[in-house]
Amino acid sequence: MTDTFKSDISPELWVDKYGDYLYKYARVRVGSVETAEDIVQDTFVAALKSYESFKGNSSELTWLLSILKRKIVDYYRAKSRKIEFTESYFEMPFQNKEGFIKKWIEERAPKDWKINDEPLRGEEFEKIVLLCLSFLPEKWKSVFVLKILEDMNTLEICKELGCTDSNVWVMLHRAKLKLRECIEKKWLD
Amino acid sequence: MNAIKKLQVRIIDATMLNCEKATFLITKSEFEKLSCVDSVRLKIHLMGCKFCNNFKKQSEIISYALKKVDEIKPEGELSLSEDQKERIKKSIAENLNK
Repeated sequence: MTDTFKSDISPELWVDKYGDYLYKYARVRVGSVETAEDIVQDTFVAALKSYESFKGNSSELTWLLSILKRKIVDYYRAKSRKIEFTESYFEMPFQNKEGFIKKWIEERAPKDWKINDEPLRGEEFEKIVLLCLSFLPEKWKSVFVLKILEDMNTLEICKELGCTDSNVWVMLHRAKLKLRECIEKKWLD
Repeated sequence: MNAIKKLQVRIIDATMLNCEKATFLITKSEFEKLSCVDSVRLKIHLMGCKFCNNFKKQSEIISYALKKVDEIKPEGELSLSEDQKERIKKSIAENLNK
């Protein structure tokens, strides 16, 4: 066993080979520098403890990434059990207006971003998106990240975070409204 | 008169989508197929609502940008600092000897 371990994986090279990639992956998803570092470290430690689960048929990176992905879900799961994870207040950008209920409040309504389909606006836009994502309240962020970036289905998300199916959609909706408002302010400035 | 107006509002609200519901359905439709009724109601709403059309376009742009996020190079603040690397290496070494 020790022989297989030594020949198949090389932990002393992990940080230099995969550290940045894994860190960026986590950083984008959890926002905080410290948390992302912790998650990467936990991933490596967990990998050392379960190297039997490493099958030679996937690459070392794929294997490490699958552990990291699980750590991200665990992080949000632990958060969801804490009290501070309560719903945060966000005033919806809609108001009642003659006859038609809940129309956009004009000043907060989505503008034309004038982006169309040009070679998609490069990293500057992406950075704004990531910054605004990190500003989202933890609870909404967790749902948004797991659903959109991790592509998990709503049932799995509910199981992990202890919420209901309709909750997930409501949170995604609010997260999107808040996110787009933040992006618009920074992008059109 | 007032009662009639109120009733009118209720009927409109029950049959037509308002912007809050429309944006909710736009978000949902990115992941799931909407029911026929919802899908038609959304189409009708979008024919007359510039803001919700902008929202839809923006939603697509955001999702697209997020899908590309993993292609960004891990550089600068999106990469580990030397200090961080040292800390992580140390913890790997400690656990390796266990």
